Amino acid sequence: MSQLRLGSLQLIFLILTLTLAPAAFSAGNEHPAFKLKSEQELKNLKPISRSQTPLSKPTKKPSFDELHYEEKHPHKDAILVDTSSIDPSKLNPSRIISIDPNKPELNLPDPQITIDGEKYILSIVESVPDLTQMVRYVTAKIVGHMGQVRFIIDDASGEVVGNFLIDGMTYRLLPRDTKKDQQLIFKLREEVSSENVRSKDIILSKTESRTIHRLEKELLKTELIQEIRPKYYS
Amino acid sequence: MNGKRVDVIGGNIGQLDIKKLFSKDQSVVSNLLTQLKLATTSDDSYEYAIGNIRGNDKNGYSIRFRQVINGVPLQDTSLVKIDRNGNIKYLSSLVLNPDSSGIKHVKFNQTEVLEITKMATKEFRGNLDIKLISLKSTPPELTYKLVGDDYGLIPYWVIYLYEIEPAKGSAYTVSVDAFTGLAKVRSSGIPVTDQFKTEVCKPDAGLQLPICQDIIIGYPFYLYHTVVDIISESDFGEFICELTNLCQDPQAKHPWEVINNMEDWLSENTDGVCCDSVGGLSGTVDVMINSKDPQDLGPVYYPSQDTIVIPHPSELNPAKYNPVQAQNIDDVMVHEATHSVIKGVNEVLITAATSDDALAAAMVEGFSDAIAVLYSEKFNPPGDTKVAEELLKNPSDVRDISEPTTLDDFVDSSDPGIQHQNGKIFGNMIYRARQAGLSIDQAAKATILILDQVNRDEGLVGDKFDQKDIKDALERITILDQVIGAILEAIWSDMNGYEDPPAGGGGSNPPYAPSYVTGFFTGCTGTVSTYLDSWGSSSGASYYNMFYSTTGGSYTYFGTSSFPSSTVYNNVDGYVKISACNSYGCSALSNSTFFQPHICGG
Repeated sequence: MSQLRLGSLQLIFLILTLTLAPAAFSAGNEHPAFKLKSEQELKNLKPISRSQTPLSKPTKKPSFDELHYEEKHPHKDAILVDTSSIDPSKLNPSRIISIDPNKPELNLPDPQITIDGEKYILSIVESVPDLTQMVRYVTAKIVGHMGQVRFIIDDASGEVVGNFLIDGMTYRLLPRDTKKDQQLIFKLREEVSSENVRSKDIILSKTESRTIHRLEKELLKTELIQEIRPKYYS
Repeated sequence: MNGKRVDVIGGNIGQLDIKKLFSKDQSVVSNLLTQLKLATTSDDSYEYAIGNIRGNDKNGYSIRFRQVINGVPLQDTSLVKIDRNGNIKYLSSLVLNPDSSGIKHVKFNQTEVLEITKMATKEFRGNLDIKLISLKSTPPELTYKLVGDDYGLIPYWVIYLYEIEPAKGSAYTVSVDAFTGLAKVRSSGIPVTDQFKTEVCKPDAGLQLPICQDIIIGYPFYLYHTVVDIISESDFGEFICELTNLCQDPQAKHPWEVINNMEDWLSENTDGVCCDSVGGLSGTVDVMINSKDPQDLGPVYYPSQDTIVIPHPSELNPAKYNPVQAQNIDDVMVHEATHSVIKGVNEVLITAATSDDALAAAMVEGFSDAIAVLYSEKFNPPGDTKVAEELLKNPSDVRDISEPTTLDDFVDSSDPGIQHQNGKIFGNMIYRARQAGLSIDQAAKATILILDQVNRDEGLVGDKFDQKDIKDALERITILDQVIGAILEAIWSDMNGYEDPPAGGGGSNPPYAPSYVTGFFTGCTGTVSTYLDSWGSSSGASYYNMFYSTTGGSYTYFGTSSFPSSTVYNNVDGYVKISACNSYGCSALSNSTFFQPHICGG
């Protein structure tokens, strides 16, 4: 089968060409984790904020007193630290263009949220859809802190789940079962000790809370895939 | 969905304890999958069984495992590959929810199924007087078979029966649906004979072996199996005849030279996928020569017994075969031994190939021909591109892997002979890979990687192998070995193999237009509605231009996005189209999507 052999230079050229060519993986790598900014890209962003708006509607935020015991204590590793009533429409990039080129672009203030008495300004860096789940992921840097937050939002139902990493602490924001426009914010007991440690796969929502549980699992799965940083995922 | 297969290549997947793996401690796998449960959907309570471990300290190890549900293993396997330090390089896990309603119960136990099996086989033979037995060496197996795209599970018993009266009979593989009791009988297995004489002896490497003589093994069966058990492999990898007067037909030596060559060659070139398991290929496969050929099969491989059977020349059908000692023909031996390699790297594929799955059968036959041709090129240069030309009497039966074929030539049939015709497609695929520049060793690796990577799920057909399964395997191979993968993908395209819907152009051309545009309402900002527009990413695109029209004609540019999505607002009805761009230009406009603003009060 000597006729099958190519000259060595020809072969080297072919291998070099193939090695340098970008690969297209149409069946794999469709997960939104591949479309979100990497940890390093996020780390390199140094946001500043010129104007802010409250992310939570203060009048709709539930008080601790009106919460059920199970709502306050969903998991042994989670402590309820705050509540909110987030307006998901404020979880959009600060600059929004109009599809009508004659209209001016909108410049929105940065949303601000209070957790456990501390105010955090969120600089939104991306909004990425997941069309298979019909949700979107919104990532924000925390201005003036080491940290970030990623939300998963179901705009059709208005449900929002968030995972905050702020100055080494992890917070989870979950909708209430009974009033899904209100949220509970928990602090997870275990600290994220280093970049190499996987974020704790603690799911706070109950399986019976189907829509909330789905969103929380999808969000944490996306963060897990981001941590693994695979070359291929399907 | 009852569960799913998840494939992850590269990145920081995790680490496994190699010592525990070798002790088949299933907790290693269970812990890993639970740690990754958000992706794998596993749980602390799920059970697994570790199967084949292949590889070596140089190339790392690949470990097959199966989920066990209600004490019954899944037929389809999972795979994890690790480097020498236990770092995971690849994970392909099939995990199903054991509490799913899609799992059928086992209604028939082993004793009941044996009775069903014997009755069904007698009906199949049309003779109620035949006597059938099962053997301890091939015990009944119970596995769950995946059915449909939603991963339903049906328990199946597989029973091997041997017909012992009126002797010279056959063996049968009977699969029984353990839920309904329906049986399917196939005449299969090693033909029962009182003439096969040889097992394994390898009289070299300095060991003083006993002098072996031919022995005629007759009934009862237990004697034959006692003999087989006695011929064993030594700690040094040599085969020892432990009884005097036992068999060593000189004719048996050549197959083992071929098999040992294959073992060394493939072990060195397939990144541990084949054949470094303890004992290697030669430690698992058996070769029987000078057998009878009551079913007119010629040289044949029996997966259930992992045995190659070569009929005596006088037994070969003179209308089809030349009267040759086929065990002395390298490409015949390599072809059959490759079937055993396939059993080792992908048992589901070899099982499917014997179960009316025409594409699986074509892959098994075609890639076995390819390895046979590559072997001849490697060990008997320059070799040739034909397989079994010395054995087959009719030249038109000889397979030539240089014969141009495409996937269009595939015939979806399990009729006799079709699998070898279909197999030419895959033999030719590897031939093309050699022409495209792969070395002999790379082509062998390419072949083994495809066989290793192809999975029977989430493709075009739920419970059979299909072209998308192969295409998906090629994409994973491109991650594992970019040169081999890229060549195989190009050849696959040339051979009109299945392609996913086009995602883009790229290269030195403008990209293709995005395949779709959509978007959803994300709320009101003041008096305007905001949307998250989204469109199909186009490979080779570095940015996207967005266009708008109020009428569906005469589109106007309104912005650029570096990602296949953008948050926009609108307060008039509007159509949006997208053009994908790179430094060579922009694509035509995509199809449009229509946005109607919500009423926002401010």
